[in-house]
Amino acid sequence: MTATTLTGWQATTALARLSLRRVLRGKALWFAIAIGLFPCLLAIAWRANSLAGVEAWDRVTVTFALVMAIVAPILVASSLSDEIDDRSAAYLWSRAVPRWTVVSGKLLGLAPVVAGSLVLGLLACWLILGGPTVVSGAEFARALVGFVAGAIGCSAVSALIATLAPRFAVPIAVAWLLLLDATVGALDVGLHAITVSFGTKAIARGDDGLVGPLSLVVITVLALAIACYRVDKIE
Amino acid sequence: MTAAVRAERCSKWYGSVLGVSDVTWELGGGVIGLLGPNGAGKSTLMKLMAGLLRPSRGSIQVFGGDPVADVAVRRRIGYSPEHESTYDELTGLELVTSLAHLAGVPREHAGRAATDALAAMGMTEAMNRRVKGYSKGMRQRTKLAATLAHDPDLLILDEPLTGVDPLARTQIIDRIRKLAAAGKTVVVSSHVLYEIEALTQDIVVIYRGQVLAEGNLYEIRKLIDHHPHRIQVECDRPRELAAAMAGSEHVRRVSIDRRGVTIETLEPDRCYDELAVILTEHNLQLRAMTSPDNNLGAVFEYLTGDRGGRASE
Repeated sequence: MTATTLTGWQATTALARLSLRRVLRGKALWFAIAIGLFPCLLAIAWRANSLAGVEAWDRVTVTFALVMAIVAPILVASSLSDEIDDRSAAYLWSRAVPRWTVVSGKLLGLAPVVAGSLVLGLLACWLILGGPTVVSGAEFARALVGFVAGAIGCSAVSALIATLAPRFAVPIAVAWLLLLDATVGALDVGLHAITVSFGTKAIARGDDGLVGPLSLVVITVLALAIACYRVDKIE
Repeated sequence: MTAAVRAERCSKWYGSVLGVSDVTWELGGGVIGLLGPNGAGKSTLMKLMAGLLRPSRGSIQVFGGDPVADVAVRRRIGYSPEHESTYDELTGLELVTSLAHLAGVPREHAGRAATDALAAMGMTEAMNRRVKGYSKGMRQRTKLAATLAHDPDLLILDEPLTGVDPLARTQIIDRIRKLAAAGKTVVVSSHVLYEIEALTQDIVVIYRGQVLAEGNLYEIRKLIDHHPHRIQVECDRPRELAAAMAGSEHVRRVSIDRRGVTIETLEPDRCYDELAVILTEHNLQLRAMTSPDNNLGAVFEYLTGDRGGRASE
């Protein structure tokens, strides 16, 4: 056996597998699933009350934007902050991997879980409300892309908050995304372009051209860059 | 040959709280016991060595490199933290395999390396159970398996014997000695004196962030020349022995209790010689002769100035 030093990508994928395995066996996933199912229950209720069509779909997407702002912190922020706060991160910091790979690994392992839960929930709601009779397949696909991008953005912001305030990362991340980000994103002011919720909505609805995707990319990259810097300074 | 660890006027503060202060230290091979009470700075020094902390002032090098910045240096380090936190959701085997891979063991070999390390720690039967259900001792052994699975050259073990049962303790001590015999450098910390004593004679005494003394236990003992050395003798006629010894100029004090005669001297070698002569001349039957001062507890008490009692646990 000859030990070698892992490349950044190898370390990222190894940490992603480790994070995924842990989250699949932990309680956080069940909380996330329970919250993710909530819009489906609403969709069933709306359908039972003869509220269908585009209006019901719009309500579903708004609900999922809120769900996204809760699920990402529960999965990503808790995973990273628990590691830092419980001091189990000592095992990772002392390994032959750069610290930034802990952030990238968590994101690679957990953002797909956040996105996957949203995609499955949206698919279920779409089918519950009537499928292509409500919104076309193309519109539905665009919504999926928007929420996948939003899930990545929310996960990056959650990771950032976890490195800044590990002890209270989940409530702070939820408050940030659910109250501040969602509120500012819904305002009709230029400032809304710096929110994840605006970028998600813009991509999901096909509005505002490239502003939505660009704002999401900038937010995600910036959040990750600061998180990677922060994690390198943690002692 | 490059020293395993070289600290040069290394200090670490946590805000205004001192972790370690102005430590200059060079570490070769074998087992080195880091001894000091809780809060003395042992864990801080170990974290500095493991690359978890940066010195506030001065420098620390491991195998000639910076353990914080250089991942290739960290590949040669195995660090076992003091706390119990691990990944409870994983099995022991999954945990050690993952950490071995992250330490540089190729993925295809990591499982084998983890299995061997867990076997060496006596964890084969429990390795497929989740860590969540492990006892404190099993967690400790799993942590140690994770520390040595990637075959590091420097092992930094923070309180490795805390909470382990006597059998596991023996296994761990045996394993640590084998690692040292195989050429590894092992730094072991403890605030429990007899634990260190069971592992090594090479100690570093740390207190309030400062290295008070380092070297062989007996050499350190010699440093304490102002403190009288005690010899306890059990024989059939203690009063006769006490009377014979009391006249010697190097003897500071002689006392008798139910354990026998306790002699305090500033010249231990001379005292031992004289004792042998007196025992023979007076035809005294010797039952036992011990020196409480050869115990680390005494050394620690003297060096830290803690005369109130044995500073352990």
